Amino acid sequence: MTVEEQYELNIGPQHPSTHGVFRIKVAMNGETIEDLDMIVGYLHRSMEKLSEERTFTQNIPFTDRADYLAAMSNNLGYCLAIEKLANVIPPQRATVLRVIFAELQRIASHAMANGTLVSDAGAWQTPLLYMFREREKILDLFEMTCGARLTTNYMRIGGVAFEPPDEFYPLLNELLGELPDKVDEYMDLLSTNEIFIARTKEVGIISPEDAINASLSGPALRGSGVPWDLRKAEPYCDYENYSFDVPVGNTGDSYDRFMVRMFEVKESIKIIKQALNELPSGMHKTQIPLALRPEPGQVYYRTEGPRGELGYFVISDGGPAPYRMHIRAPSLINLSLLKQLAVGSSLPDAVVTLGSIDIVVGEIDR
Amino acid sequence: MVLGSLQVPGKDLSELINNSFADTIQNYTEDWVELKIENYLQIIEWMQNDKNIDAAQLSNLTAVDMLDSFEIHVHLQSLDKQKLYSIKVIIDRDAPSIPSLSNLYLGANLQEREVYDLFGINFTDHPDLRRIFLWDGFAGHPLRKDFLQMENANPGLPRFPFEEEGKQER
Repeated sequence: MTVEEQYELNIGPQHPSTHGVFRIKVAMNGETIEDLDMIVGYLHRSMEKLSEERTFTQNIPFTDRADYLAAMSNNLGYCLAIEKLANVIPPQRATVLRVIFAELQRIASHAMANGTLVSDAGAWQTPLLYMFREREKILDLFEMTCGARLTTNYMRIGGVAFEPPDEFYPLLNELLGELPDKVDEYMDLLSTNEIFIARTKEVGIISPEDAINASLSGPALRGSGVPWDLRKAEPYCDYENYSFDVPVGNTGDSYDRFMVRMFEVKESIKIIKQALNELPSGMHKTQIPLALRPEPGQVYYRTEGPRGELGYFVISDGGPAPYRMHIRAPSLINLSLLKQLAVGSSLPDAVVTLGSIDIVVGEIDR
Repeated sequence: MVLGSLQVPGKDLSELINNSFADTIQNYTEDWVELKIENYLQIIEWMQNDKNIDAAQLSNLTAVDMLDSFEIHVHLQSLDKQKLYSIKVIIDRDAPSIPSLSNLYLGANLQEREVYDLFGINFTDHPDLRRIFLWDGFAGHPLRKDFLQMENANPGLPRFPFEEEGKQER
C-alpha cells in the first residue's frame, strides 16, 4: 500500500539553482510538482521611486543595477528612451560604439545564461568555466574602456562616456578571431552530449501561442519558433544596416532556448565585425545640459536586451527628473509561464526549465 | 511627438475603435487613446480577437499617479502586423479599481500584481492578487506620490545609524 501525501518544499532564497535571491515554494506529491509559488522581492531597491528624485543623467547607474549581467544593454535602452523624449541625436560614432558594446554584452550575458543552464542540468562547473573564459575577455574590454566590469555606467544621454583606448581594438579583433572556434568547441561538447540532451530535450515545452499570450520575449519567445526580434522589427541604433539572422527553435523546449542563445552569439559576432568596419571618426558624445529638461510628454521605448524586450516607459513633466519611470523587465515577465510549465513535471526538470528561461533577479525586483 | 516606429498614432487607433464601438473614446493624442473604464475590458478583448488589429501580446502594463487620479497605461502589440497600440484609462483615486486583463493575457498576471503592490490599485477578477515585491502588512504603496503621508508609512532612517551623536564608533 502506498500513502499519497502532499508536502511542501522550499527552494531558495539562497540556492545554487535559483540564479540569485529567488525563492520558489513547491507543493509536491512524490516526485511530481502539484503547485508552485514564486516569492520575489528580496532584491527590491525601489528604483522606479528613487528615479523620480534624481535627474535624467543621475538615473543611468540605476539601470546598470537592474540587470547587472547586461548593464550595457540596460544603459542603452534608457539613454535611447530619454534621447527620444528630449530630441537629442547622438553622433554616428557613438551609435556604432553602442552597437559594439551592446553586442559584446549580449555575448557575455548568453555565455552566463548557457553556462549556468548546463550547470543546472548537472554538468558541474566545467562547461560553465568554458564559457566564462570568453566572458572574462569581454569584461576585460569593458574594464579598459570604462573602468568597470559589471556595472559599467558607460552610455550617456547623447553618446557614450569614453572613447575606447588604443589597445582595445587589437584585443577585440583577437577575440573576434578566436570566438567562433570557441563557440563551436562548446557546441561540440554539449549539443550532441547524450546526458545534456536527455536533461533538456522535451523539457519545459512552450507552445508559440502560449509564449505570445504570456508576453514572453527574447530567446524564450524565439525558442518557440516565433521570429520576433526588436532589432529587426523596430530597429534602433541603425540595426537595419547590419546583416544578421534571427535564429528560432522548433519545439520550444529548453534545448531550443539553449541553441537559440548559442546561434545568437554567432550573429552578434557578425554584427560586431560589420560595426568595426564602418566605425566612423568624429565625436563620441554631444553636449547636453547638465540638468536636462525634456518637454512634457511620454515615451515607451523598447530595445532587444539579451533576455528580451527591455522597455523604458518614461513620463516627463518638464522638470529635471522623470515624473514616472517604469522598466518593462523581461526577466519578471518571462516568468509568467513558470507555474504552468512546472506543474506536473519533476523537480529537476523544473530547475532546468527555470535555467533555460534565464532570469536575473536584480531585474525582476528592480 | 515621440512615437516608436511601430506605434500606431492615437488618431488612427481611435478611428478603428470608433467604427466598432461608438462613443467609447474619452480622448486621444498622438501618443495614446483614452478609453472609458466601463468599456475597457470589452474593447481590449475585441482588439485581441479582431483580425485587423490582432493585439496578440500584452507588451507592458503600468500605472502613473497623477495626484488627482491614477492612469493605467497598457501597451498591446501585434507580432504579425508589427504594430504597437497604446491605451490609457483614468481611474478614481479614492477607491481605485479596474477589471483585470489576466483572463485574456497570461502575461498580465505578474504585471498587475506589481501595480497592485506599488500603487494599491485593485484588479477585479484577478486570479491571484497578492503583493509581489513587498511583504503582506507593509504600510502604504510606495509609488504613490503621497506615500510618506500615508498611514504608518515608514520614511526610513534619517541618517546612517552610526552617524548619531555619541555613537560614532560602530
